Amino acid sequence: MVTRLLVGTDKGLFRLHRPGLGQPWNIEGPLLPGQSVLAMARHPRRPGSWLAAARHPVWGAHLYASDDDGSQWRSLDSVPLHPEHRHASRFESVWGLTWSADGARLYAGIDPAGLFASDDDGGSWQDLPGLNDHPTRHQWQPARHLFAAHSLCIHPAHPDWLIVAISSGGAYRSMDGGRNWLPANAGVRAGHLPEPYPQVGHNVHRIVMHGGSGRLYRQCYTGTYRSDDWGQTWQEITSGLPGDFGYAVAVDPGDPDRVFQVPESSADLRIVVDARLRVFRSEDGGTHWSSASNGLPQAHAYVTVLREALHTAEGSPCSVWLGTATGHLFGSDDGGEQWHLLAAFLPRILCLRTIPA
Amino acid sequence: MSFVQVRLPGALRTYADEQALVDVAAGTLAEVLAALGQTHPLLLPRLLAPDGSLRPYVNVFLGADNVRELDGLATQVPHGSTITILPAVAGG
Repeated sequence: MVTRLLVGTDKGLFRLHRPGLGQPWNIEGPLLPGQSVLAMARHPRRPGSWLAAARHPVWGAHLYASDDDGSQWRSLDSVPLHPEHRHASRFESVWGLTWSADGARLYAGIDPAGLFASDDDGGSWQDLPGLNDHPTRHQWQPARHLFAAHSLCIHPAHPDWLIVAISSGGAYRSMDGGRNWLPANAGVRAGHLPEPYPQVGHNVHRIVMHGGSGRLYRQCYTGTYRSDDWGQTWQEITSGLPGDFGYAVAVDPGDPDRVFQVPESSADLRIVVDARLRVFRSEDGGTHWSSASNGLPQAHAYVTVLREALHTAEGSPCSVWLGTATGHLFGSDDGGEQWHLLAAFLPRILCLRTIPA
Repeated sequence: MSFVQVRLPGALRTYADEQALVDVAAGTLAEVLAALGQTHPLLLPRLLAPDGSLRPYVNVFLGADNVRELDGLATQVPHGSTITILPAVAGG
């Protein structure tokens, strides 16, 4: 059972704790007050060790580390920077943090779009020019509010296999530890471009991986997709969802076929379809979908769920957690069968993670 | 070389051992900030953007004058002067 959560918001980080199932949640925070917490990552080998990417409108974007599961944070003195003249800006903020499975290497996806690696826990950073200077880079362009690399996944059985999302620019995969990269968008529509199935340029909202199998799920500006061959091809699985727009997708850590998605209305409106906050769940890899939304507001819910704000945690069934951009935090301990409101008046929720027991 | 006093805003004191006032020896504002960065390395990236310019919503005053209306980072800082760092009123 999950008893602790870290919730990153537009005004700082909140730590939630409950004594037991059915007990009310205690809220601690805001930690990192006033900062937009854009991403968090737990070290895979060091208990209690976390990193967070945060941005303050005045003091800039920085990385922070915690050794006690998020109670206290200290600033790192380094951020990844582009070489001069690659982009107009060398660094705006970090949008994605991913550890290698052995915890030896840390990857950061940043705005302006770029991916960097650190072998000393974020003390220094290496450019990955195979991606950051990719020949197709001229086809990348800023999406609304960001121009970033994010959603980096590392194949569980092949540590040199990487896949990353560029918003907007599409997905790219590497089979050699990040030296060389190829577009990974075959079968993916791009509704904002004239070509229906371009090689690159897609606005990828989120890619998630099933940690056991390496299966990938992807939510795009247009459509939801699955890949069983590490992004070489994608199968659209939007059919059965009430819309093809959305940000958030998550997969059950214990079952690669069980996937969750929050459908949103058009790119113009960007709130949940029909003003009903619904989580759609598939038990067969996205072939069939049904609403799993008991306990979620089903009328006049003019909200959105952002890309890092839907999260699953191991369990049987898995637990599912979601935060809205209006500061409502919901959780389900039974795979989405029943949802409960944990907190209603948090700041805009940007990301959330469970803290292991 | 001048001795000047730097007044830090509350949000940044956590990066300066909780000090509100820091004394430094410097001739220009750029040297003031460099001196601050020597003793308190986490301060500098909160004041300067990666390109080395003053962050857009960070205001630095020499006495009562905003250094943007003087010579920016090249502003000469007289001996005994007070440098005040404040966040701009951003967002209305």
